[in-house]
Amino acid sequence: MLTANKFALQNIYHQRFRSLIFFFLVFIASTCIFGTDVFMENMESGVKYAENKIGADIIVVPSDYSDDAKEVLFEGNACTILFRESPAEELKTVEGVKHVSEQLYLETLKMDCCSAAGVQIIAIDIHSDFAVGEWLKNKGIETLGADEIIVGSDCGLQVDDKIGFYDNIFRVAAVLEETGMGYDESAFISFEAADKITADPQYKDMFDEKTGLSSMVLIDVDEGYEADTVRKNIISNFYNDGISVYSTSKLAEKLVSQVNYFRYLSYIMNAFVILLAAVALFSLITITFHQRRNHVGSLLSVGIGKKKIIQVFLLEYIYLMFAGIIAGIVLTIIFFMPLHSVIKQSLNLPYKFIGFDRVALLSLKTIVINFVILLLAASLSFYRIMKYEPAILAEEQA
Amino acid sequence: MKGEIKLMNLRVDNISKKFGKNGLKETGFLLEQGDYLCITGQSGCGKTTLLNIVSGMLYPDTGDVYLDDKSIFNDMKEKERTQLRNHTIGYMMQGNSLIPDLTVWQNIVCPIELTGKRADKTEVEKLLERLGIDNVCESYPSEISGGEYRRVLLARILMLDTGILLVDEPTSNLDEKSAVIVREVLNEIHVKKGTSLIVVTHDKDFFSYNPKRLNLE
Repeated sequence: MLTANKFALQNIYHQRFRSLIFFFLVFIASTCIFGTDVFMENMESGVKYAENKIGADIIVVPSDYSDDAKEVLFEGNACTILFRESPAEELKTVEGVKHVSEQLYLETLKMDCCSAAGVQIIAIDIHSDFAVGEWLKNKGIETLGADEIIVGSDCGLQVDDKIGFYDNIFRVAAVLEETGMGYDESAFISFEAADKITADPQYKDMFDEKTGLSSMVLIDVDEGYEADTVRKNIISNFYNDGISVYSTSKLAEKLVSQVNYFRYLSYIMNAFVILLAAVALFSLITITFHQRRNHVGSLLSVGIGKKKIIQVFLLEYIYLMFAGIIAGIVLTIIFFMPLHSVIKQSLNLPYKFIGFDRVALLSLKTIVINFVILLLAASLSFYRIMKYEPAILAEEQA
Repeated sequence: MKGEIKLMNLRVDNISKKFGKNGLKETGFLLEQGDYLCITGQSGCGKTTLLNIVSGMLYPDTGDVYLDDKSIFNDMKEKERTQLRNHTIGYMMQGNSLIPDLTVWQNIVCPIELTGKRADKTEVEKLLERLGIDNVCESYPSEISGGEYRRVLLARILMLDTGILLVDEPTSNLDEKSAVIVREVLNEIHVKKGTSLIVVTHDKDFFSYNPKRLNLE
């Protein structure tokens, strides 16, 4: 039986070139709309995650290394940061400071691991660290032995793998989930393990055989205190002591402004793509409707109603559009997934996969945009055709 | 060609339509149930225009068309006029009005099946055989000859089983053997079913069936 559905599919098959052009236009539009959406949301998700995962209100670093500290936190560029003398104990006495915890940042000397730029080793005290330590504990990681290491998601290592840093062999105790920031290319060890490295005479030039070294002090402020007020208190107490004090919200603000730049760029690109796709689809639909005016007239002459005719034509476009959208979305996912780490490393900004539920929502958005364009174009084209009397349409030669 | 068909009187009341210098001058006639009318006239006198108006596919400048005293332009909405062409006034147009993306078979059953009914396969096969086009049913319109094309158009409209049939130049481009078949088929449905016929033609052989004649000037 010849149904509207079969009619539409036969039109697609018989007009292969026209169908292919339509499919390709939708495919390109969907790839651009969906691709820029996923890219932007990955970045925004990275920034949000970074804000949450720094976990501290204030960060204190040696002033000589302040740029390095930002890079290590958000971009994953490995480096070694050292206080001449840790200010942790004195910081505890500043008004408004609730908790203080220290971290030691060491860059690997050799390319023993996954990253060509070297791996960032971070020594933490899993019990007292309220930033990373707390987060690790939430993931069920309660202890960290002297010969154990926890690696970031982008290190390419599995649990129980063995890896050597500074002539020490560590067993991978856990692999963290993606954070979208520098932690993804970092490895976490205990202070006990770090002391063993820094006290080693062969690294005397770097660490002077010292133990208890520190790179960064993370501060949690008391309730009722603004982070910025406490930051100012610290600066006034430690004036000229060679430290830089940052409130993490200020650091995040800079990130947000950088991401915003990309966001506006993507809005412009998205608007341009949608406009281009709308014009192209609109033109194609209008042209093909115009070409098929005599088909409309012919169907009207044998008593097929307008509703049925538009149903046949719309079904044809809907099938092609759906195929184009699915192809666009699938190809974007295929492209983005394997290149996720490469994009993250080349961006120098937090970048975290948004998850498949969000991807599904963005797919839906892409579908809706395309279908709105289709419905508008088809409605207007059909309205223009239907202004003519059936006899005039039927006499038109294709 | 099955079931009971709806027979009605058709009254054409002083209709006219201008297209530049040409067009249809004021014309009127009454087509009673079972009448057979042949319309002749020179090119440009408005024969096709007359059929377009009678089928409700074109508004006249003046006059009206009545189906059992109901005006098809004033008493019917466009949707009703469209439905009319599916069950009351069948119209075989002169031009290339087959859908190029459908096969001959699909073109023939399309007016029935797209309105939700199922075409009787045996009826279609019989009709195709009777019109001598059973060998092209899986072909596309672009793959058949001009003569076959005309017969497919006729088959498409005959399948609708309407009480009134408007046929525009049914034997043009046909060889004599095919033209005879077409004339006989039209006469058969006129005689056996009482279908009212309006045939626009230059083919004088239609006059052998003693139709009413209307010559347009």
